[in-house]
Amino acid sequence: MPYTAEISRTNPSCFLFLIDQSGSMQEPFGTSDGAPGGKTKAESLADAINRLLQNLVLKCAKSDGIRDYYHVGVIGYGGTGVGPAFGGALKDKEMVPVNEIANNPTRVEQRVKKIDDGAGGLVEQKIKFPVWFDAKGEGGTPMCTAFITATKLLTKWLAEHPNCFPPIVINISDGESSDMDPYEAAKELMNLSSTDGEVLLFNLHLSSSSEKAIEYPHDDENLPDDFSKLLFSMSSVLPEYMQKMLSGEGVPVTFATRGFVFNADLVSVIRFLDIGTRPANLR
Amino acid sequence: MRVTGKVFWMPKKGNSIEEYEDAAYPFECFDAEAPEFKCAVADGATETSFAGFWAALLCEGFAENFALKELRQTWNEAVRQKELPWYAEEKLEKGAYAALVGLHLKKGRGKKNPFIVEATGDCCIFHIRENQMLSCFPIERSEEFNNSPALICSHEFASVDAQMQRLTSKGDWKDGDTFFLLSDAIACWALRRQEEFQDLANVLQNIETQEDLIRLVDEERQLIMEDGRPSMKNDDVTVLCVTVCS
Repeated sequence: MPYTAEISRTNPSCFLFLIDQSGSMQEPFGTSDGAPGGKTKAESLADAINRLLQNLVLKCAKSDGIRDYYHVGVIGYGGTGVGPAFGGALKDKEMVPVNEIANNPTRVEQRVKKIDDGAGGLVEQKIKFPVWFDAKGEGGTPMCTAFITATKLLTKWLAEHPNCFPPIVINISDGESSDMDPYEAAKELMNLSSTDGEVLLFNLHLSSSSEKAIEYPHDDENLPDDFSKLLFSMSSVLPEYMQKMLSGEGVPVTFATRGFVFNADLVSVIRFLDIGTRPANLR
Repeated sequence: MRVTGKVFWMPKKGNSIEEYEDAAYPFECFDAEAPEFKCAVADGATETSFAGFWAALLCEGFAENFALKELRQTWNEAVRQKELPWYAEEKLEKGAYAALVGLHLKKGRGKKNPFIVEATGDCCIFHIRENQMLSCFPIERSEEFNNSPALICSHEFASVDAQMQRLTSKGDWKDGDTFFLLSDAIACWALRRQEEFQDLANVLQNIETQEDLIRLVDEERQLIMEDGRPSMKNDDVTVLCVTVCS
């Protein structure tokens, strides 16, 4: 049965993020209420990738430090080409163990979040918020080349880790590919596999559309435009165990539910990663 | 009332002894003469930080009658001793979580000798008499185990505690009865043995030494079932065996 391989330090898995840094990402990000003055798509992308990395690090954090259950790569694609997107100490690195991500954000901001005060109210709490990526966008959208680059990188990774839990690739984009139709390149990436199953490709579509957010659809009927439909068509069907977890969280699922969200949060993917007991009442 | 017991444990394969996050109290073999006796096994949740320490506090707290509030205070004071990196700080804010099963044996005044069990999460207790399983608690079927039980948190958050279910069960013990308190991986495996072969009492009673446990767990972790998963999940394993006589 696929997608059952244990994820451990001796048999790590891998996360590869593909982030759209093209000029069209400087357009406004759509809100379902159509409210003006919001973020750009590039700012929303920076929020999304920073939150995904933060949650991935926290997943692997223990009292004695970070356990390298995952290796992580981030490939940017935009006007300056396609390649590793980290800055600072991680600059030019294609794939690094998660502890290097944890210990090398470009800065750590102090933010305030509201938490349950235990008596039915909310209190403000200062938290440290790591930032690896700032908003960036210029030039074209070589998404097809990004998939080809990802395929090369993961072919190498899978040769070195043939029995790993299959790599998860998360592509964050507005879907407006400018080099070629990325469909075939994406399919080639999804055809790569370890002995435990095929590579999973999930897409987070950031759009200027004011249509309401959509999470994990099973068909493209309600998707607002051709870009959404394209990204949906090249998103993996969720493995059965992920479908069960989503269903447990009250999200309607079918056997055709895919790893695709439209103007929504994809951090739930991190919750799906099984590295051991996760308390049901963990906040 | 005389209570004798043995404790065996081993960490998840690939982890060091220092990374073991289950706990038991007592944590060594024991032979006690007392009108009542309390013991416990706990399992710290992998995804949380300082979970082994929290599990150990919960076990001791149950056996020595400390209030949960006191235990939470002890945990919080102990883990906030030094400057931490951002991820460790964030993780601390989420707290540690653990499952707990505790057994309270009493010498009765009449003919009956009562026991009370408390359980939160998926650590289990099995009551054995004359080589037969009389009861298991709080989980009765192997398919009821999953990776997301509601557990006891080191922080007091209303929303967290609301989901936590502290279950209790009562019964009577007789001379020679044995209770096995197990953390989840071996408890799930034992229940499946019972469902398939009705030999849970035998397989548990055959664990007489630490070497027996290591041999059994190594074999079952390597045995792959039809669904591709190992017969026993790779996790920390703890077995606390208690035998009681009046």
